[in-house]
Amino acid sequence: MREVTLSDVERLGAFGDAERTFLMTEEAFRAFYEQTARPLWAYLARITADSRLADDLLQETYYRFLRTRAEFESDDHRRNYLFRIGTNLVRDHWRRFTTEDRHLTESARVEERVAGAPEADRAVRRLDLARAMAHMKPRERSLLWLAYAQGCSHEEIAAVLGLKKASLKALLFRARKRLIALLGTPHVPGAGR
Amino acid sequence: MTLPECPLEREVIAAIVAGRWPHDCDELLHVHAAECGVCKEVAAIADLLRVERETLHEEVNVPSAGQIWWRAAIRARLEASRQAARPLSWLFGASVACAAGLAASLVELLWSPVRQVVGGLTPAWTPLLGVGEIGRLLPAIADLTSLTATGGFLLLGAAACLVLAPLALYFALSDD
Repeated sequence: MREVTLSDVERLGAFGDAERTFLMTEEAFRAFYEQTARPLWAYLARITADSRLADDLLQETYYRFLRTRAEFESDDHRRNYLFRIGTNLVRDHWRRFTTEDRHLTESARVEERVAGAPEADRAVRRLDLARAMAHMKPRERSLLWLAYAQGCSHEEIAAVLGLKKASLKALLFRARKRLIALLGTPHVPGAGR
Repeated sequence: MTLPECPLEREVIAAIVAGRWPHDCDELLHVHAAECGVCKEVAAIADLLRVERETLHEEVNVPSAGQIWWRAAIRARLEASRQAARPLSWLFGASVACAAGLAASLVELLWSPVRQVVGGLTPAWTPLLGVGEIGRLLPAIADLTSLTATGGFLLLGAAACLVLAPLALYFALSDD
């Protein structure tokens, strides 16, 4: 059998069909995308340590989100659901690689990413953070990013990562301690104010 | 094990994430964070991650919403087409299998009369096949024809339909 392809006319038809296929209108999607695309990309890039992979996962995440038949109680619920799809996609991706491959890939990319940073101090701090994060488990990275970079509540983190809220506090505590140990003496912002 | 906690931890995180730390937040919160072990640690990590987040947000060039929407629409249509084509492929495969089975049974069905005819002729092959011999062969061929004509043609017709119908359907429903 031949491979199924779409003609230009069908492509235009697909555009018209989209609002019937997806549970969201294009306008609503645009508004949602503007709010979530950058935070989601940053999250994916930080936990995968790979900006190209984050680009691909971003598209896949939104595609799966649009195809879902789930109903959302609120904007937060919708947002958490999106991040959960992204988290699951990252997990699926990692299952295909061994831990060793992952670590090597991440270490090699750390310096490449930080090389473009304009300020020296900021660049050094980012490099330290990237190196430390590369030594952490994927779940620890997700936990730290959601809790401290995005300021998510424990309920939200539990929903995104599929964890029990009761175990979250201990996991977060351990991840924080591990990062502090990997970073050495932490810099306390505004200490000399 | 009791985990060390601080009731102001969330406020410290909220101030840092919102970019109010250290200059635009409550002075008391700042003083507290300098003294509290938990908040000091949380503030250090949250500030580091805030810088990372802001830098990533500046650096990233995400595709437009329209582009994502359009690609998703195309992909959804493509997947729907593939899904629709799947039963047709199954039907085609099943027909080919049926046709092969029918062909095998036809061969089996026709084999014994043919063998009978050929067996009857074997002694006659040795001399040259003259007009008299052909005359002797004709009734045998006529017998064979009457045998196949009864059920054989019906089976052949069914086999042809089974092979041709899915092919016709496939070409009728395919893209070009």
